[in-house]
Amino acid sequence: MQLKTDHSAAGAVEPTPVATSADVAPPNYTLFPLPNYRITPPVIAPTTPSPRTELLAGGVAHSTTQARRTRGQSAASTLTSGGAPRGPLYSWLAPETDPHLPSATSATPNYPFPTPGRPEPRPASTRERAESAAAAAGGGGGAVPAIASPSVTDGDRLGHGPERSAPLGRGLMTKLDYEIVDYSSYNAEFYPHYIKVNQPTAGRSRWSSLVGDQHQYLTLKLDRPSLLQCVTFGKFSRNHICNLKEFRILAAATENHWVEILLSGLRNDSEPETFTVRNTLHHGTVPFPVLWIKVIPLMAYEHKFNFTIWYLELRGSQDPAVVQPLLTQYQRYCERTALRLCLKAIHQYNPDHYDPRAVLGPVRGSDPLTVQLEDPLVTDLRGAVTTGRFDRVEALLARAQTADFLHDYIRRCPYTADWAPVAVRPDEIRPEGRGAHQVCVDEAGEALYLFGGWSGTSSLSDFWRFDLRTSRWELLSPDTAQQGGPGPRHYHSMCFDPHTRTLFVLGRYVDPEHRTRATLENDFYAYHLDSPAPFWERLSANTELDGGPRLSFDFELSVDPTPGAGALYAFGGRTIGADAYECVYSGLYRYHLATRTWTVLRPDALPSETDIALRARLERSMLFHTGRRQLLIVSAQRDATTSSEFSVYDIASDTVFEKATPSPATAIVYDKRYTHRASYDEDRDEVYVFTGRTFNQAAKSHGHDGGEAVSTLWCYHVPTERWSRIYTAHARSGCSDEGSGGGGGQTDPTSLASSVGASATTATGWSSTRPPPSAATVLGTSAVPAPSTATAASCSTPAALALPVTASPRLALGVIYPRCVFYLNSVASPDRTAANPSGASEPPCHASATASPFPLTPAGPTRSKAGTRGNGLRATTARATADPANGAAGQHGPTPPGPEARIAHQFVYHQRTRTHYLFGGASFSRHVGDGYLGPGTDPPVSSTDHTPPAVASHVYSFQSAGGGRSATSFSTHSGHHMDGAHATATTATCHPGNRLNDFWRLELRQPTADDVVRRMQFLVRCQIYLEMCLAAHRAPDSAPSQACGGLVGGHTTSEMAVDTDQRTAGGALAPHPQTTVRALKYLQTELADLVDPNDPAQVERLHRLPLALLDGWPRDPPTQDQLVYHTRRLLFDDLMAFLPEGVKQPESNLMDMVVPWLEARPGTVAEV
Amino acid sequence: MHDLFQNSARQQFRGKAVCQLNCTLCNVLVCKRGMRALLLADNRIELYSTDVPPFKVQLVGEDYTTPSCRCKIRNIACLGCGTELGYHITQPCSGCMKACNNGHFWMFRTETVVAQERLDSTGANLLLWSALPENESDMEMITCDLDILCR
Repeated sequence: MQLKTDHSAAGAVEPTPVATSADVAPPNYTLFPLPNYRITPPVIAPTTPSPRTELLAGGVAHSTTQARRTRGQSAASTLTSGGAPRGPLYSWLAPETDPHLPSATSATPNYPFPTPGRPEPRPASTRERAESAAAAAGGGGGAVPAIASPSVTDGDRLGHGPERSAPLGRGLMTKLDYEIVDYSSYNAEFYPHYIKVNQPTAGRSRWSSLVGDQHQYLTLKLDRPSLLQCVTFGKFSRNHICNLKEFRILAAATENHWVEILLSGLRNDSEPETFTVRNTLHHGTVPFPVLWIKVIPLMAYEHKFNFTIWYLELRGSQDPAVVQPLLTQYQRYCERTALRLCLKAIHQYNPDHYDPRAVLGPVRGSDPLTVQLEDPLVTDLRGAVTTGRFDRVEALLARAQTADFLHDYIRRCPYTADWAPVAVRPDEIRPEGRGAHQVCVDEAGEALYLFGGWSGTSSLSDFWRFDLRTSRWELLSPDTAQQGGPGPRHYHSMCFDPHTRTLFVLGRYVDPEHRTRATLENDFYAYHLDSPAPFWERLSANTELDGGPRLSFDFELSVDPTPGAGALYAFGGRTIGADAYECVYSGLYRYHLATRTWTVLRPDALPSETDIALRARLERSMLFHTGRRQLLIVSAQRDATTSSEFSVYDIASDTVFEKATPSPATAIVYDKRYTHRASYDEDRDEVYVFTGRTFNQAAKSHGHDGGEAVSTLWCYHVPTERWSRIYTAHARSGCSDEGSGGGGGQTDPTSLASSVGASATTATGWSSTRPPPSAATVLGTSAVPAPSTATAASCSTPAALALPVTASPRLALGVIYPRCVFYLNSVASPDRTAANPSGASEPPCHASATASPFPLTPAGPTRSKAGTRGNGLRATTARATADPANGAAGQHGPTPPGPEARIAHQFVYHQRTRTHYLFGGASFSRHVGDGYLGPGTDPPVSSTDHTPPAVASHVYSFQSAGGGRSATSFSTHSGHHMDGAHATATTATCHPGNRLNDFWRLELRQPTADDVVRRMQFLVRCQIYLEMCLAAHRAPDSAPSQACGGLVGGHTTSEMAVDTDQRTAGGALAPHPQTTVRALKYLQTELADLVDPNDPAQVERLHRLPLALLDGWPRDPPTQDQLVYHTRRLLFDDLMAFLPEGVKQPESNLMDMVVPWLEARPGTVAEV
Repeated sequence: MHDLFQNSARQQFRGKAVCQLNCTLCNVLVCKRGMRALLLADNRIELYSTDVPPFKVQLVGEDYTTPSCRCKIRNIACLGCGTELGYHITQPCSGCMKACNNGHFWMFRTETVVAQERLDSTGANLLLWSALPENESDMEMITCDLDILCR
């Protein structure tokens, strides 16, 4: 029997939990900055004996009786009340219906939300526009001040503006009371409502399902709408096989209209885990206050076992002052969307007599029509396209550019990496080759500072300045120790405080044979740039004595430049003690600049006892987010068991947020790599990760270096949590090569995700001229072979024969004349889409249109939700042509120059110019001359200075790679494959020759607005040409019909006019020669110019187009008209994909929603 | 030879009572042929053992050995609640096989199961192992899955 409880009755029934984490929850919760993050301590204190154990014996019995009573009463209430109230959330808004509302709020005179039937007082139509503009810009506005998700407002919201954070902070993060209103099953006496009680030591205090199948769930209902922020799972005091290895949480504002807000998993341990959940809709622009929550276990730690939830706590805001504006926003969003969808349906029903004013009427009083179906420009464009006035179309495209409609598309385009050597004149001095050095950027001073490093034989203490304006190196000091600065060192850390304009230098590596008491002091220096005569200052002779970090290497130093609160943060690395075999990871320390004192935030730890949240203490990067005052810690995956690659340390709340990546499909997609360097762009909220070379055991065992060792460049968009690979480069060639379809991911056995990522690489086209792997190979869906062209896909579907009215023009074309798709689809072929599967680098907005990478096949294993829409047809409408990611497939081309793969390099970011700089490092398997190594050039190999044989060179270079990290300093604790290095520690000597001193600049480019317009023009002109081809095949005695008539008005008039010559010359089957000549000419003059030679998709399409002249087009005018009509519709759709959401008609179709919505079964997940 | 040895060894246990074992936590019936026994390797440890694979349990984790002998064992957990009830000897060591054993390879910890001594058909006396059929022919093992016949 289902248990449904009226919310009013439910409130009375539920017992107070015996002991909950509320007692131990930390104070001062701030907004959660990131969605779907796992938060580790101190949300619930670890299981401690304290009062909870006292409750044990009695607690169990107590809750058991509570359970029975609750169940009985709830069941009774089901009989009487018959279920929870349905209906819109805004019933909560009317003061008289909400008993929980404080009187103050009830008394508020001008309640912002419209009561149904009453004209809404609308003071701010400007606000409304701002919202739509924000939506149009892909989420650039601050329409949602109170959403916990980082969405779009991070920059200003999470700044230090007291006016915003103060009121929000007050209302946030209270424990939310809930009822269990439904459940799938329970086992023995493990009743569902036991999850409300946290008793980690009581084996009975849990819910356990009766079976471990996929149909288990618990439905919770909050006592009133709340902004849910995070969910905490308590656990048993020991490992338990019934723990949820994977689960999902759905939420709903109205009953049974579920939206997935979390997909994650628990560790099988005893630590409680807290996850922030998604609480926004529409790409983070609309708040999502919820009333219902559904927890769906997916997998336990052992098969066949039942699922257990020990304790579930919901936290968020119920404060009416916080929630009600959100409710208003949510409601307004729903209203607007519904209206726009209605308008679209009406428009589709009768496009010729579409009059929104007649439909909507003067309901809104003086308020002008704020709900518009589409921008007038789009209306214009549609008219121009469908009537074939293509010169008008091109003019409108130019207007779209000036109206800044293309910005959104550009932002979604993947980056192309543009490496260029920083020009330094050969006769100028420059630093010698080195690894494990440090470089800092001084943006205000337009300079880079370089200090120290390992030359291959010794530590360095030279100090350089590179002037970005003059592109000259300047040797500030050959040995800083002479000026009272740091002595020779490598593997140290240096950071620059832009506020005080000071460089800080800390830490270093000491070879085991040189470790004496004297050499193990952690001296700490500052270089004051601001003074008229910059000088070194020793801040400490040994920070360990000041309560700071022990001497360590491979740690990160970040600066918090906030005036007044300025501090340095040192994190991770490995301490250096007298015992070389000792393995202790350094903790997290803060150095307060004003008081010059150290604070331990997380202590040093042995590998075994490293705090779970901050265990990535080697091979990671730490970045400081000035706006949010958070440390972002990006780390490479250590081994198969770790899933955490992105952590955030919130300074104010002393909390670690950990990115939870339960499934490989959503996991970060890079594998074990050395020399992990990351940078952070605050404006774009993106992290760029440049990894050094991978160490591949397989390659080593095969005795060759393989082309498999790669360095990669990744981009991580923090708000959307999306990783995308910008490129993968091979060690050997110095540039990239895609490998057989898998790129670097091919060598990586870890995950599906990496092959997904690899395919994204293909799309971004660093160098491969190979066609992208088919969807089947990439995604492992071998069910249906990839069609070689879209024609096959379109024709082979029986569905195409019975098209719904709203079916895509592409399908319609497939019915009329399948080959036509061949000409139109080369750019937009599903293969292209598949090469860019959802999740890899797909921008969120396009997820619905291109959700299924593989049309007419069941949704692949990528968790794409295409299947839930029950709409296989829509998948074929994937507008890959205009898909930004695809557009960048355009960037395929000749291999661009790039730095060779390396380790121990330095990679820094100049935020203002959005430029990265890469200096030096250790190269592999070859000796680099002292001079500059040009891009992609092989160094001269002399017979005397020969590269060792493959195996040896591999080990050799690896050993030397760490910039002198001696192999003995690593034990296998580090989790990396250091065995090879260990074995050769005594024999291999570092060759000084393979330290690089090349200097590179990296710019990440996206297409310009002009590029985008050209892409759109290309599509338009393809259409013009295609229509010429059609005209050439037109039956001789037929006049241009209505559909083609528009052409006469366009600038193609002269070419397209079917004159008498053609009619006579046309004869039976051959195309009209004159028109043919004109079409070819058009192809040469108007079209070919527009093609971006670097875009293979465009080139391929261009190469196909001549064939269109010779094709056996249908000759009868009605069919031709249909073809023209559908191709134009297709063109319009393709053009629309370039425009932002708020400008064009909504993507979704009301008619598509009818059946799923009316037939929806409870528990169906809605996709937003 | 081995069988003979086994059979003779089992003679010693024929006078012991048969127990029915239930999971302490969720009360699932896991075994109807339980025997109260002492661990060969350590006589201080008391266990319940059985000679046939128990109901509603599942092997979990990997094989391991304990310091006391070289038997390879693997834990078993209750399918109802996931509690680890005991272990299964997946590969007995020669030492234990030579010792006087009861031939049971499934062990339950006393604290994780509730034992109840079974009665014989008269309902008056305890059911003894001597009265139990050999495991292959024990109808009790089968009937528990059969539907009740009403005729």
